[in-house]
Amino acid sequence: MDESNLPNEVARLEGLLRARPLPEPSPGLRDRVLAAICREAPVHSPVAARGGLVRFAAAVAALLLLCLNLSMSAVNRTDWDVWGRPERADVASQAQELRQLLPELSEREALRVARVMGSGRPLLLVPEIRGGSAWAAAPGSTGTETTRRELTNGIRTAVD
Amino acid sequence: MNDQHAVDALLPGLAEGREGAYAELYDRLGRRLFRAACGMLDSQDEAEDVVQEVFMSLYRARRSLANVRNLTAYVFTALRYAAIKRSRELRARQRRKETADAADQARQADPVSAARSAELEQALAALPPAQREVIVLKIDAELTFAQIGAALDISPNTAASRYRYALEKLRAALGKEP
Repeated sequence: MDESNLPNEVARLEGLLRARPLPEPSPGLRDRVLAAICREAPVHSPVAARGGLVRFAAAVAALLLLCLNLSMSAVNRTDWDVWGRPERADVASQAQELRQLLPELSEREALRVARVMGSGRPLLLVPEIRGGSAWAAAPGSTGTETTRRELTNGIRTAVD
Repeated sequence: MNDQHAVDALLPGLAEGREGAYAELYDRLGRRLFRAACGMLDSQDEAEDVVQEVFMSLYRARRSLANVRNLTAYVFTALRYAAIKRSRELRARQRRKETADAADQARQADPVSAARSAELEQALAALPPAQREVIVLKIDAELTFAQIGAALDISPNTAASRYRYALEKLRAALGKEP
């Protein structure tokens, strides 16, 4: 329909309607509308994007730390030859030799000493303190020092 | 005045949820939407809320915007639904308050035209909703009959006929030559 087909009186009324004052939206409506849209879509905002990147980096770092911790725990709690230790057969035979030289050494201690000696590392041999053994005696006692001297001599002998 | 192509060109950006597209859409249609909402609700505060609600619904339905051919008509349809819903939820409080306030202020500047404007507003508010709606969409929202038809789900010719009939009824309600 062509608006020019309106009768004159109706056309004049239309003109008055067009000329009447119309309300204006408040200046803050635009910002309010766009802010509401941003709240609906946090993933699109630059701030949220940066936050997402930080969270991702933190998650990767946490995963790496966890894997590192688990790997260290696994190494410490297993007998894997991760440090290139001598073959168990060689260590066992060396431990047996030590026990022949030092009968007071327990099988566990002899094995430990054999591994330390075979590692080639400058480790300090510290006897394992076990309940009821001579090492449990009070420091300064004659029996403890004698036994220690004999053990140290015995170890030197085994090394030589 | 009715840059429909420029509005339709915003569809891809709106579908992707780009804030800039929604900002430009507001710049192009915001005022008209607001004025149309005022005509439907007779409350500026409610009209602003409805405009915001329209943009929110537009964003939430952004993935379906690819199927829209006439964005202007689509947006005003959404406005119409939102206004109808709002008017049902609210009572007709302050129905003519802001109109009367605006008429009082205008009367101080130009008594004759202000009085006539107040009569027009009162006569317009007294029209049946369907007739007032088509006048508001045509004059306040500056829509074409094709867009009004799309918004009201009627043919453009029906929209034009309804508009003419509403003007004649308004003229009769005024009771004198404009």
